[in-house]
Amino acid sequence: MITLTSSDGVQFDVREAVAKESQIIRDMIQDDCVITNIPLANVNHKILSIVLEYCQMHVDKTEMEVNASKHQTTTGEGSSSVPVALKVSSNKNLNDWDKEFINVDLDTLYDLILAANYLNISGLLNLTTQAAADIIKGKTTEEIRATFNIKNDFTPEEEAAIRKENPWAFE
Amino acid sequence: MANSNHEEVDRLSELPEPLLLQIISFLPTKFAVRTSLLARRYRRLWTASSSLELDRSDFPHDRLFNGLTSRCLRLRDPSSPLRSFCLKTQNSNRPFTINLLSNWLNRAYSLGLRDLSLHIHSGIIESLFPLILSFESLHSLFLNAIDIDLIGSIYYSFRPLVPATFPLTQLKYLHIKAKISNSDLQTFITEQRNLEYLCFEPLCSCDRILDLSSQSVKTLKLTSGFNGLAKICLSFPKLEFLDLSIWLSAKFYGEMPVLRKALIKTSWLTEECVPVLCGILKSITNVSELTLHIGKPYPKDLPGTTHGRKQGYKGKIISDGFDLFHPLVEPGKDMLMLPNLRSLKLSMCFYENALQDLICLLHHSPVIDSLHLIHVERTPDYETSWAPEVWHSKLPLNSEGNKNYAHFSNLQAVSSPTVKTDQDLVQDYEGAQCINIPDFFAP
Repeated sequence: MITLTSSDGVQFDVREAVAKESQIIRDMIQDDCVITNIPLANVNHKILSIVLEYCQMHVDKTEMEVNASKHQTTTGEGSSSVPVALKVSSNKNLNDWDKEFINVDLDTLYDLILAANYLNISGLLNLTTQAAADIIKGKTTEEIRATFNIKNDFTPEEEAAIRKENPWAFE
Repeated sequence: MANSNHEEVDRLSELPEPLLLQIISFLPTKFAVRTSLLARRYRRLWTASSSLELDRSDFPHDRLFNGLTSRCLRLRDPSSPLRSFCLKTQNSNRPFTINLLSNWLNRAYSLGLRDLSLHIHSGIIESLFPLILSFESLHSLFLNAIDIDLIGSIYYSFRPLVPATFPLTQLKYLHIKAKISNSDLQTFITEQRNLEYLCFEPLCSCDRILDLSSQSVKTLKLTSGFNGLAKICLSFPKLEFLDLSIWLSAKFYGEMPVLRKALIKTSWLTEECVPVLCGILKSITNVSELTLHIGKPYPKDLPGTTHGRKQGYKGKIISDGFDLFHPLVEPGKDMLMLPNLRSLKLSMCFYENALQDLICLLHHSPVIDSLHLIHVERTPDYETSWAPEVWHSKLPLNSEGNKNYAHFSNLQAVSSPTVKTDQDLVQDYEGAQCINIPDFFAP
């Protein structure tokens, strides 16, 4: 077990495998194998708990698949080593789970992008930045500005010039 | 941290540039370019996006499209690598010239390309194989020939893949729908030690055999339409997921010992096809999740019948469906064991014998936990004038009062694998109201 402490001082006890989903933590553990408490200065407890939910799911799912294939080569009976909570969702695709997981408000999404970047969890970083891209996709410039509260700092002349550069992209 | 002007905060623009760039890299180029108009912060950001995804149909004419694509590639700062390049065009557009495409691809490759995706005209795409297959850095390759003539392709000669050795050592993902001979593809994939995903659609060609094997592929998607294949042999010792759409005319041999999940869709089923279907099931006996969609059954003309219709005294139809073939069991053979099967989704025409076979299959699946059944009604046609009621669903009535589908879950929670009885299955039927389950599950 490893204890992760959020920026606001909340402690999370997690299995080493779960913590190691983060490249930065993996490196720390590798450098110092007796480390048990890792303070994370840039992630508050609310976001950290969401991040850990993601890591937990991805670790469990991988382990479960390994177990499943072990079962197949041996007996094919029983499933005692599979966590009960997961049994329910065992038929559910991890991609579907990700999709549901990332259905969060914009503020949480930003926090998750930053946390995934800071902790270096490439799967989560891809998932979150892809989610942000999906919000942009299909929208007009005005709609994107409105969605993200982006302030237009171009003069009308500049704006017209940019449109003229690539008119096909704004149709 | 929620304050009154919370709504006004633009946190997107506050993100560090590499993160903004990563978001933009997930956008098709059209929308990436659109971000240049958002605010000064975004003005030139898109030009460093690690992906280019251009769709010819977003442009009014060729000249504009070609010019923009060339410019994007030529003017690009080599310090920001191009990882992904995707080009799409449509049937109605004029095909790109091979020269132009070669230039684009070479330039993209020199910028550090990893993922290449081409949806371009058949004929052009095949001409580019030698060039594309020399791109060592590729991680994923998606080749989709458009306007391909699937049936007529036998009249074309397949352009052989020229390189004797393939330097693509990092390739993990390969999707190929183009005119490539089955044997060329096999030669190619045996060289790929890191390939994990393979998607292939064999075409109608002189090849009568599709013999594919890989030591590394974990996901295989094979769409084998009516293409004159006589035999399909698949040897995939690492395969975990199989997605197979198959015409049940070719003999099927498969070796996939660690397969966990299979999705199989078949063409219509005749009595001659049953051994092929059983052959498929035999090679996937280790699956734990199986989705099986079996096409409409076609009874053959029985002796003493007219198109399957037995005529009795004064032309009265006396066929009762019992002389129809069993869809899942070969005559004279036993149902195979599916020792790991936990979840089965089966859609087929549940006529009398189909239901019997299903029940038999359930008795050979000791750990099954979830069962979805969907009835596909077979509409009578002129070829088989069986009494229509033969094809009616023999599933029990569900809570909605029809027999079109049934769903059973948590079967194991009630019945332990050793003492599973029909009665346990009965109690577990979701939303059961007035079903004669003992009849339904009686062996």
